[in-house]
Amino acid sequence: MKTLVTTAAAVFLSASAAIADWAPTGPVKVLIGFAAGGGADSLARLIAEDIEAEYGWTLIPENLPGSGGAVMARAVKDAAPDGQTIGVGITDTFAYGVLAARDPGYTTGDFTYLSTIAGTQMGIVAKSERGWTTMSEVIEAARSGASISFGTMTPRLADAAYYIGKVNNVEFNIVSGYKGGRAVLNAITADDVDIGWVAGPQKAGVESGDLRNLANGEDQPLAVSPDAQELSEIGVDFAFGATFVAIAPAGLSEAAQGALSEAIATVIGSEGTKSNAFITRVFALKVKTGEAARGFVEQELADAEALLDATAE
Amino acid sequence: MGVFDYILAGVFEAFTANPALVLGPLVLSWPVILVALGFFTGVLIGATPGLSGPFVMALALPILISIFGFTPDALLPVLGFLVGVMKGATLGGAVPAILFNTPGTPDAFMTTLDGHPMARNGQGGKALRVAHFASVSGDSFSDIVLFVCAPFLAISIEAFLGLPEKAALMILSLSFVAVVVGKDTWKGLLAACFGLFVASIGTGTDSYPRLSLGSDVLAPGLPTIAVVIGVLVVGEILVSLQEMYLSKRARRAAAEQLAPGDSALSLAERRRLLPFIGVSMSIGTMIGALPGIGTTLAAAMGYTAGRKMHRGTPAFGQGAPEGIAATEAANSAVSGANLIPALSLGIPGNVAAVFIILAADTIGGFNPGPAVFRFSAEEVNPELVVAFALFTLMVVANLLNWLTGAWFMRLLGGLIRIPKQVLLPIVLLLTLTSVYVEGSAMSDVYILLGFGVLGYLMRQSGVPILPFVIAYILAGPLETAIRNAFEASGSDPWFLFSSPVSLLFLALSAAIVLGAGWLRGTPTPDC
Repeated sequence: MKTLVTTAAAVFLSASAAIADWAPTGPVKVLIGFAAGGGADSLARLIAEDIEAEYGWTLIPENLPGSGGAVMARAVKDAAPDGQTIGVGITDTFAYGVLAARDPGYTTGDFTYLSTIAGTQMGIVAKSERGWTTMSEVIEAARSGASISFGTMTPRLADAAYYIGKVNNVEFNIVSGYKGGRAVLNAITADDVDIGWVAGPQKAGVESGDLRNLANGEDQPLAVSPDAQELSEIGVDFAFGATFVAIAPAGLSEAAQGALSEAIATVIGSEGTKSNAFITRVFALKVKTGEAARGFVEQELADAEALLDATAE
Repeated sequence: MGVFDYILAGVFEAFTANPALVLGPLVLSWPVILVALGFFTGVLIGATPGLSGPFVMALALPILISIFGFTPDALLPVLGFLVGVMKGATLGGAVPAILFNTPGTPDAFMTTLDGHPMARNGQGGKALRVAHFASVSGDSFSDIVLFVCAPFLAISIEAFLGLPEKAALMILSLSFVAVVVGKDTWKGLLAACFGLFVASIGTGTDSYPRLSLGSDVLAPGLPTIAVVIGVLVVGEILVSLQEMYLSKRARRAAAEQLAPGDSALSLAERRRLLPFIGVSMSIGTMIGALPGIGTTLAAAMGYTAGRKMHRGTPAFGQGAPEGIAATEAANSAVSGANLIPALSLGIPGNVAAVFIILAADTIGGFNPGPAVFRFSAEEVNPELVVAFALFTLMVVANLLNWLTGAWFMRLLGGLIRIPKQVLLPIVLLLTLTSVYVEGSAMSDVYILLGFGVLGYLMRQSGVPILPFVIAYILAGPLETAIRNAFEASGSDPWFLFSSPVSLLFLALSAAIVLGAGWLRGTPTPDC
């Protein structure tokens, strides 16, 4: 009874309290833009578990992999903006993905950006036994005639690989069909590709000495190999790290947006939750909610435009 | 983590990770409960003529997923149930074959040849015992082969095969399935190509949804479970309904009830059966490891081998226990070995494996294929733990089978059988409900019915179903492998022919298609 009174009072008296009192009326579908078992997938599932434990809501994760997150983006765009459908993917999909695709079926403005979640630990990875320590050495090898295959998991990273080759006058065999960094990592381990972008799962292998981060794809040093070669040393002035983001359809009510953003930010930010432990182990925490999240995506959109111009030249 | 740590972790995962009931140190876990449930359901369904293991798997999968959700905890209970059904159904098929001369599953047909004469001689109980003993021996043997071979095969594949070889291997498996199942090579290939076509809707790497005709329903791709269940189950129901209509009234169940008689099976008698069981289970295991060849062919080959070995009376076909043993050991040995290509390569070889891969895909966190068996020392490979937990559950199912199977079979002998005109509508209703529950969209139900009609038409025109289903499931991995191999080769148009191993695989595929007539010299299984 007391809760009821409080709730009623909150609804009538204060808009900000109403945010805290918004709750989904049924299970919330969490559409994941990448395949099961990868970083985005684990992240989304752990956040869902944490929110269930913390808030008592029911969340149903579902994988909608394909086209670098675009399949998920279209599904979220078409869902009703009632807070019962959210998506987890990377900001790439809403920045570079919109510009590069022929007809993506969505635009950056079609979504409510709930919260950025975590930043990756993007590096160009190879097996240590290949003998390379920096990307420059790989480029040298390619110049002297070796055929180098380069595994990538999103169109932007494929462009990045192409761009790295272009400014250094070499051509890599870019293998772009992988769905997620773990798949690229598996391909590197199985010798299916020579080098590849991996966004964090390489950490354990790098620590044990089996793998090496040949170059740093982020705009700050990698936690596990701070001395990895910077891309600027090989003539590339872009960063290719990915940022995980939670989205909802545009037109979501402010109360629902506030409650969902808060739920996500709270569980990933609290020490001891499963998602927090996972993020600090593999990625780096990066929490921006509401307008700040939208601003972040828009900045990426501008950067992506610059990259596309540079590769098109 | 070493190999033994992984095995131990798998065993713990199966027994304790997801407890349903805790009594002091005793833990009863959900996976174990569901294996038992699946096993008993499987025996019951196998014993019901007109139903088969895949029916239950198809019905149960969407329901179980909506009960257990999409969390990693859901994986083992669901897989456990499927494994239980798979094992139970093979055993159950022998009950009506022996007691009523009507095989419950197609592969139990050979069991009727000696089983029913034995039952008529008042030895029905004994015949059931023989069937059980042979079936469980074959099953256990085949599982051991699976446990040893799957990781070994997966690791060698991962170490020795590059991208073009993997793509070529998938093409080889697909050609094999297309040719071996069914009676006509070209119809088999047609089914496989059609499966690839259906799978290409809404998939692919381009950000524009392929072949979706601008439709929002087609854009995310067809719902896999609805497509598979539609073709497999609804199609079968439609065919059965037509058969019932044509024969106006379903045949009355054979009312002849025979006394089960003495059911003891002495140690000496068991020992006499062992050579037959040994030969048959080896045949069954070998056949099971090849994708696409089912239990029916294994049963036929086991029976033929047994007849050649047999001396003395009663002769095969007149109530020889050896005949039952030879058949049942062979068809049961198929089930474990069937999972070898599924778990080590991600290539489903039969319907049961299709459902296991579907379950793993839908729930997530476990992608059957070579990457599962990466014994990473520095970081735990969770998929490998799941794989060993699954093996543990198969052992649990076998133990259950050894301990309670014989008793449960006898119990079923006394049950009244449900007539088809009651059974089929119930199954149809359950199918529609479970697919709706899983996808919560009416479009899934329409797609289910559409593919049901397709399955009916395919059966009517003699186009086999299994190549369609397997190609449909395999299409995604195949496309990825081909794309990656092409890109890694630096866009070489001859990428598939660049290495001797992939050339060999492709040559074999061509040889299989061209030499299909010779391959089909032996009786072909139904799918």
